[in-house]
Amino acid sequence: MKSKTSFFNAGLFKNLLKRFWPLWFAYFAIWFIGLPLVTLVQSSTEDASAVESLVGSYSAEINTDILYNLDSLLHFAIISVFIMAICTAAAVFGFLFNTRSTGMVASMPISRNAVFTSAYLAGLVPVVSATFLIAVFNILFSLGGTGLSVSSIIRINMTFFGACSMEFVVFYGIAVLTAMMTGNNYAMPVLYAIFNFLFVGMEQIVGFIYGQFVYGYNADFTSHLDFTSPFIYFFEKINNISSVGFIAKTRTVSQVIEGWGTLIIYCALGIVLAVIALLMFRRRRMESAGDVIAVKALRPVFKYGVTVCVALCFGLLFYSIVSWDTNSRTTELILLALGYIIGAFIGYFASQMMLKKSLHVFRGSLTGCIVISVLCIAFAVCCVFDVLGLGNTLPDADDVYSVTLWSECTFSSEEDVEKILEINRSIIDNRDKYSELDPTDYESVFCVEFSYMLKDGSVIRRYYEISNDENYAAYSELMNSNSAIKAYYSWVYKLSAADITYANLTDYNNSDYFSSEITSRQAYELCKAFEKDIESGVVVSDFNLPTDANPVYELGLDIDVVEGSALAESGGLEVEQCSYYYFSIYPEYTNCIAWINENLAK
Amino acid sequence: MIEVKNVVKEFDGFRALDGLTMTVPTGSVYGLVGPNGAGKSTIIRHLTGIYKQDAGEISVDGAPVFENCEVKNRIGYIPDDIFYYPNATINEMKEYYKSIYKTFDEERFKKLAEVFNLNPKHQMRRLSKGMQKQAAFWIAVSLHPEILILDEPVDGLDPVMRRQIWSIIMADVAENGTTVLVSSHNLRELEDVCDHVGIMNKGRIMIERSLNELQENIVKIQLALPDGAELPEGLDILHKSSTGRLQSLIMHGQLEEITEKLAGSMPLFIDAVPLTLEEIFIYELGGADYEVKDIVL
Repeated sequence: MKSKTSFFNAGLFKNLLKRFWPLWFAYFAIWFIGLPLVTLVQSSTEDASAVESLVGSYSAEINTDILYNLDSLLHFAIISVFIMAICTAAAVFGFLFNTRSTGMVASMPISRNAVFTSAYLAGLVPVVSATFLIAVFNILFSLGGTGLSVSSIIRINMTFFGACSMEFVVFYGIAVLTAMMTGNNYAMPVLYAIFNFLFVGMEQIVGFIYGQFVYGYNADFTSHLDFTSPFIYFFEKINNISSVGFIAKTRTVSQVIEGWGTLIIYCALGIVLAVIALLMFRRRRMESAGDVIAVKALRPVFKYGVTVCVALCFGLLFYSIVSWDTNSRTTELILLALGYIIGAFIGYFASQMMLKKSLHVFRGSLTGCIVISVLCIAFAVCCVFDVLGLGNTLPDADDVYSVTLWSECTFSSEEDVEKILEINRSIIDNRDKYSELDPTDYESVFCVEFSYMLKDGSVIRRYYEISNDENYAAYSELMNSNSAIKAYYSWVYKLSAADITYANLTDYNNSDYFSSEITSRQAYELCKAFEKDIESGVVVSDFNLPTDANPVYELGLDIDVVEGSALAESGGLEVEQCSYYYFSIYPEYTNCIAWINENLAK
Repeated sequence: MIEVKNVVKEFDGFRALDGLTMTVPTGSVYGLVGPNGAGKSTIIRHLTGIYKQDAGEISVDGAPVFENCEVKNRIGYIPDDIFYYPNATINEMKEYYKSIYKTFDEERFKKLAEVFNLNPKHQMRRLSKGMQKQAAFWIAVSLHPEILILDEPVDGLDPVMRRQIWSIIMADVAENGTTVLVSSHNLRELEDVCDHVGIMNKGRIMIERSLNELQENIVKIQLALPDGAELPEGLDILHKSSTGRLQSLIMHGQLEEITEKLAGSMPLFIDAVPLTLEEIFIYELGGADYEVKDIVL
């Protein structure tokens, strides 16, 4: 008769908690120093009257200490829970990596369900509890000197607690799954990193290879697969929006973090991964302790996965090292293919060595290695000779929503899009001529960039090095057209003095580049003068300024537009936090120069 | 009763257990012997629920062992290579086992403190190998197990402690009817404590009998035959050696039966010598291609 299934064992749970207390304490201590302690010091030193004066009148100053601390620590939280998750999983499931400890735990009267759940909770509970305690301490230490309402303080900190805990659940789920896949404590962090970065990494490598060979293909390192890496995705999607409002002269925070949807979805995924890990643990063969891959079915995946990844990485590295001054496509292909073959060989046998825990693996079959090498060479042929024709492919004008040139000027009219596509086609038609150019000759080679935003939301980017010919002239003309300049400096037109929180003017006439603060009103008036210069057509894009063109001044502005402000409600700039804008002033900008001479000459 | 039926276990293509069948009667002290690599530790890991067999059945009183907490709670296990948490003291390890095994007997643990003479506040890792083994016994015996499974249990213990530990185990067997399965290469010691023996080779049980039956079924005969006389047909001879006219024969079979057959050859001299377990082990395995080879270096 089998015993009934149990899902928890208090003895094992307590033992794990007790044994790894230094890990939980270190996590708590780092966060305690980084957040509540800093808040306590800041709260006790903040000038209460200054807080009072801020509360009394509208001010765009929103970074109170507590918000500032959370702002600066939000991304640190992602890094800390990413590391903590692997450390925790390696600690509580560490018994799986040693034959003796595996034997002890497996021989005890605890069901596998209970072993897994107890160990999982022994990792999850202390970290979440430590985070909760940090939030509670931060609430207590914030109450005195932030000028925020109590409910806002609690909400900010509980939001922080919720975000950190959910991020931990995601990373911990991945870490626990990797622990189930391996029986080796050295392999676990490697697999964890692979899990988090494999697809993005391989996408970047393939993109880089395409960028090397496909004419005009711009490998800009933006990722379409970033969702496969929670670490990267959280950095992109989880952001602070510390929007402060005023209710009955008390500052309240209306929103703290954006990206809750992302967090909830990934948190659910983390739980799903933990359940998959439990199912794997139930079927785990305890004799796999010490094996790099503990799950038999995953061994071929690991073997061929490592072979492909090493082939692609090594191929690129080898090509980058040995392909200097190579202009022949065939030579390039041979070098890249050779790199892939060597890489596939290394990857294939390295993975075999790891799986078999032996160096004597060279006598086995080479079929897998050969197949991967052939596939990689086929990939190299596709890249070098652009078999897919990506270099000649441009979107249809009807599909284009807008085109941005050199990340600065955006065009969306049908006429402009047609014109830009025509320039781009002409560049492609002249690729043989441009291929002859020496990219190190900065005097006669110019870079042009096209970024097509399509109506379906996708982006096609192209980048070329061309000579100073009619294509370049047409490109420059577009970049410096009055409509492009106006679009580029559209923020100047929408600005009001109230939105400027800080402004400074740098004087390039002075050899020390003396920079002085000016008032919001003055900055606003200077912007109006700049507007007139734009209208008169003297303002040019930074793109093709003559090399001897030197600015005489530069105006830098901190602009804060908060929710509920007059400008935001009037449909001006979008609500953003602490945006920095600037423009340079050249001698030709007569309206600006005149205003400076008249108002700031002293 | 522990029953193992046709158990098969493979590790990456290597068949460690090849249809192993064995039975350990309740209340017996069962000695599991066999050459290195025979599969003794592998079957013990199956019996303690660590490994799951690829085929066959393993049961204790009819209930499977694998993933059966009720059965595992009745088993005390001391592996060859003892595991302890690196910084744990004996007391902490005791508390750990106590929190998991329902049967842990605190009173017994305290009483046994006099026997083992170890400081429970000492960290396990600071103890010598023999002392670690003593600590493992201390905790395992305190579990009050119905079944005690021991893999090379007294390896590393001094003679006094060996005797002490065996006396505790034998007292447990006598008082509580504890079933003991012990794997060891120390056959002289096993001979003193075991009432059943299983000899393993190449993942199978070659012979499984009570020690008495085993000793009764194999005999060593020393005899001298007259000139021209030959040994009779039908003898199951495992080993034969001679010095001058005096021959030594190790044979399967009952002593009376064999002496009766040999009497037909009119021996000038005949004597039966009792065999030790070690000799039985050596000669039985010699018949299975595992013998001491005479190599001149």
